Amino acid sequence: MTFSFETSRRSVGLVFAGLSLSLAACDIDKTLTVRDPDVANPTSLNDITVLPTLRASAISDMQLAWTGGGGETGVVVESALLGDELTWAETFPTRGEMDQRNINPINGTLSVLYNNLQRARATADRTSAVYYRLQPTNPARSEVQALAAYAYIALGEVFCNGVPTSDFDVNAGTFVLGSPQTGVQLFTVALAKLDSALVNFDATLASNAQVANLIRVGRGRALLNLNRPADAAAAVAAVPTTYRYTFFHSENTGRQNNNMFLISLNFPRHSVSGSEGGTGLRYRLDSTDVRVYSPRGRGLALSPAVGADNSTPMFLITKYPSRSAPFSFADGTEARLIEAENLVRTGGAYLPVLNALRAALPSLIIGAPGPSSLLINPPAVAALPALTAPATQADQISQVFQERAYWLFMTGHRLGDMRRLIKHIGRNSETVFPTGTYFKGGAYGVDVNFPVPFQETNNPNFTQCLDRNP
Amino acid sequence: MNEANSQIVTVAGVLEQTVAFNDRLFVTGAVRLDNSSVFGAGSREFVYYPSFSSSYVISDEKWFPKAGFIDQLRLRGSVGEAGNRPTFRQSETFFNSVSVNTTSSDANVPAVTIGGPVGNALLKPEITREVEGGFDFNMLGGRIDGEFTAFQKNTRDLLVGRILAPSLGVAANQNVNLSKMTTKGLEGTVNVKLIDRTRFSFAQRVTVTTFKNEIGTLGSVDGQPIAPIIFGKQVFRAGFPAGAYYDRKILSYSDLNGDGIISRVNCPAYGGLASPILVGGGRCEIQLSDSLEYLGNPQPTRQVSFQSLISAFKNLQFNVLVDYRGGAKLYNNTREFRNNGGFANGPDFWDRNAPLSDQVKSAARAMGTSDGYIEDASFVRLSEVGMTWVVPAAAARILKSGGLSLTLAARNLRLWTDYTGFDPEVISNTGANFTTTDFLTNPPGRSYTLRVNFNF
Repeated sequence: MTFSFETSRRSVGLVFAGLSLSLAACDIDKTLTVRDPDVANPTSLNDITVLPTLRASAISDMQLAWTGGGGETGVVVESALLGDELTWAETFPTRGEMDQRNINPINGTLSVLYNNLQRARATADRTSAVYYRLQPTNPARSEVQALAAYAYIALGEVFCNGVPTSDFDVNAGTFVLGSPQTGVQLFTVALAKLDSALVNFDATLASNAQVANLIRVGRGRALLNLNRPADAAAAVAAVPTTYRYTFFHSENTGRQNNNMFLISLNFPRHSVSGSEGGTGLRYRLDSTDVRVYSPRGRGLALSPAVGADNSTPMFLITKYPSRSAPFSFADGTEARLIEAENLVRTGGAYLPVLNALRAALPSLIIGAPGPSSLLINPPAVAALPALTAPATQADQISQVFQERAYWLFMTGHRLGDMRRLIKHIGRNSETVFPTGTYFKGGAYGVDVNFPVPFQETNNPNFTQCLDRNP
Repeated sequence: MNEANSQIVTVAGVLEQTVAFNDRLFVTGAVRLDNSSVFGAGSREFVYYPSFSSSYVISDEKWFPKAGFIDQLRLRGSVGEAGNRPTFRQSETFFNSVSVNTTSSDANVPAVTIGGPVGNALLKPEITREVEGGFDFNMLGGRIDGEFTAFQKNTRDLLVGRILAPSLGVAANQNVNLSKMTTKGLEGTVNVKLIDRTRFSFAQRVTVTTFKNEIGTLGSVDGQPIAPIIFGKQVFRAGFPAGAYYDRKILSYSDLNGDGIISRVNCPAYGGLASPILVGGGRCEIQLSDSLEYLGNPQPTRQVSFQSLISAFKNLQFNVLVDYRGGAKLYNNTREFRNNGGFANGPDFWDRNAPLSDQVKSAARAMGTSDGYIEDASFVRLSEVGMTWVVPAAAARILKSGGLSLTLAARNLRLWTDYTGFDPEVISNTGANFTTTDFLTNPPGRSYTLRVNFNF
């Protein structure tokens, strides 16, 4: 019998010795530690010097969730599709499902909308916690608390009952998965956050008014959603009519672009509606109202005549004439409209409030419609004629809700208002939402809100929406 | 202008020893050890991968029966472990820089947003232990030869990007080490020279492979059991193949009102919606399962190849290759996309003369299931037909060539399948967590090749 070895015993010994010496000679942990200059790690975002960056991050994530940008969708556009503000003029079926009120939980656009909104909420909550630890009375802490509250409000306004909110500890890497919450629970959490935000700093100082009024408008919005209009009116009473909290868009990066400009004037995805489905408000048909002025495109650059589907007429959003057009996130106009709603629902003198706003339009509107070089005879930015009151309270309420819709056109308020018309005012859903035959075939569905995307089923506490009620 | 930095440091060592006995029995033992910067900070320690293999030419033993028809028989066996490490940034949570404008001055200030995937400090390499055994043989004077192998791979700490609940408000997924996946199969190849003459020969090769994998328990992260991981229409779920198709099943359908259309009108709501349109009156024409059910394996479980080789007149060679794959399902997302009502241009959606079996696919999709579009992806393909002519040496010399041959080959000539997309081998998202889908992706083309080989 013969044996042959491909390595000798001596070579084995040498290898072991060499390996042992090599490993002993170097610090393995140090050797395996690499620098990653492109990103920030959680431990670098924990000291007082980065608080301004964290605040900016909370604003950035909220802006993306609300208005979209850089190819991402947002609350404003998608809620406008499900509501009566926009009509689907392109070919992506995920957005078509929204316009047609027949949304599948596997809808990819829905997933982006939900993810970004939850991310904005979590970022604001996380930032608030860092401020709480390092500078608890800094007004910026209250500001990011308020932003978190607005995210809760949006989750309650546009999604079904059953939205969970979960927590991730970025330092420990641990999860706490939440359970489904009703809209009322979400609005209650939002209100609690806003209440807390209002007492964490000196709201009486003039220098803090910007944040204080953001909180006040948010409280009014949350209370309206809780069907407490009198409390809502009281919450916003101190907000000046000219107040505005703005998201400033920019040409700088895609993420900072104004998405409402992108999906209308820049690339024709969605067209402004006019009496959509027979029940929607008139919007583009009210061509003399500068608040909703939406002319037919002229077939030019930044003025497309038909949508990306090459058939649907494009009626353009002129409120946001460029990538850098600012967006009014919360303002004094909304505060007055909250007061007007409380008055009309209690039989009070609501009309003077509405007419005062209409008279002050030039100082309240966010800018002239544009792009001015492409518009033929746009309505003047001038005071609107005074309204007269309809005979019945039901019609008066409709009048207030229409004024809300026009003042707050394409700001992410309308879908919540339509749901409130059903659940608080008692309207039938099919008299509020577009209904009947859908213009691209088939019929409108029955959705009045967005379902929670299927990815949430990776949360073992969640199965599906608790219900799809308004 | 952009910049991307990626740095991975690995410290590794390998030791291998082979021993031969009488040139009949060969034994190899080896061990490899690895540590890497991409392991999670909480699991950064050396990992050892031992392996052992042997082969034994048993037919060379004196005591082996000289039956006459077996020329050589070799037995093989091996057991060993190998690792698959995570990739850069998979174990660490990080934030990307973004810009934001917080004032009317259009001044952009730095901000960050959470990147992805979410880190996992306990992330470690997945380790596969493979045990295989088999034999190679040669018999009847070389007219028949072949090999047979049985294998089983037990993968532990399988690396999977699990989908996170979006309510966490972080990145969409996190890489985790799942507990266990088992893959086992058989593979056999036989070559037979059916005719072996000077001027004409005909050989046939047949290769048969069976393959089966199954997820074991999913394990836990931070003490929390990992729930079944859902990737769209596919899941990682204990007891099922990796990436198993999973959705509500179409149990039956019938045109109850005789209008020639399968419709979801009058169907109970699926997905929790109490819908006045869907629940009103009549009986439902589509019956779906109440819960998600297993719909099929995304990976083929059976493969067979037939290859025929013919030589004639010493300088003509022909080959024909036919492949079969079976046992897999494929999500025909292209067809679903075209029939979901968005474009209204697919006959499943709009054509009342379409077969009811097609209409139900689109209608069920509107009820939330893609079962109708998760199709059998079995096929038989005439993969290749080729001919090579070796030009006689005298003719080659005229062209100053030492050797000259012409090859004409045609590939992907014919496909037999019930799959309704372009091709059942189209996968739009190759390699992502075993997920497979056919979505707006070009199928492999048919090609004809004429090749001239010559040397000087």
